[in-house]
Amino acid sequence: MTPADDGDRPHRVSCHLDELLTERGMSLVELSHRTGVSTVNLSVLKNDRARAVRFSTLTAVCDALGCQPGELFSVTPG
Amino acid sequence: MTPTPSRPLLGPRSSRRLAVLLAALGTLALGVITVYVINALTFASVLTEVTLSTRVRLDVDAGLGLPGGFTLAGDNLVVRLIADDLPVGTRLLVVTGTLLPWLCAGLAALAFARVVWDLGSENPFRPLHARLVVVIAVLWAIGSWVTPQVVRAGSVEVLELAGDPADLAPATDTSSLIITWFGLLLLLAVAEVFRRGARQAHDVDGLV
Repeated sequence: MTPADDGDRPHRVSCHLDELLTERGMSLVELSHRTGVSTVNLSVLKNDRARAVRFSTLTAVCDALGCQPGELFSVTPG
Repeated sequence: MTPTPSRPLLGPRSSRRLAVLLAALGTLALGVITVYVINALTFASVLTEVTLSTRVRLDVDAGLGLPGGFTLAGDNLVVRLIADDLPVGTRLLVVTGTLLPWLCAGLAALAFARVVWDLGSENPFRPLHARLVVVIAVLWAIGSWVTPQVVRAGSVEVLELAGDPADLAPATDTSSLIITWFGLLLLLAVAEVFRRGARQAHDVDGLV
């Protein structure tokens, strides 16, 4: 999946939410219920269309998945 | 602490209704202007503003026979002069003076309608809106400052064609630089708010 552009400068951050959800057998809807983040926003995050993430969202997702931000995101080599 | 969301002055429905009303008024104004211009080109007579001389004004005072303690106030009394058989150019100049504020108001209403249409939406701050408010500001400047100059120019030309009657003077310049600049700056400030808002909206686009 191609990382999203922020409109001004392209970025190479990839989100691994899909893999983490699969590993934990959790659906996006369930994650939405646990975190209070809308499925629309989680879908944006999962599909690498997000251009920025609130710390509160990141905290909620990491808490729900039992992971660290480093497991959720990686920067692909340029 | 979660801030309490305040109820917006214009919701999606009300903003769109207002936009439709503004667009209808703008279109109506442009339609009336078109008819007026066609009439001015078809018929020979036009109305132009002129002012009465002080002598005529004093004659009016005397003719009225007002009781003691009552006096008319004001000089340069504005009256409308009906002028027949004028050249087309002069007629157009006179008609432009009459119609210019309505033309500016009509176009501004259409531009404002486009802005108002999106005011109740999730994303009211768009670069287009900033540009449209700048257009409205320019139309305001033309309508409020240029119009009196055009009216005066038309009046001067009509009086010249009438042989410059001694007791009539051209229309006075009623434009106010203070009001024009105040309105212009106010509108440009609103345009800047939209421009900055659009930039911020762009910054948070894609924020989860």
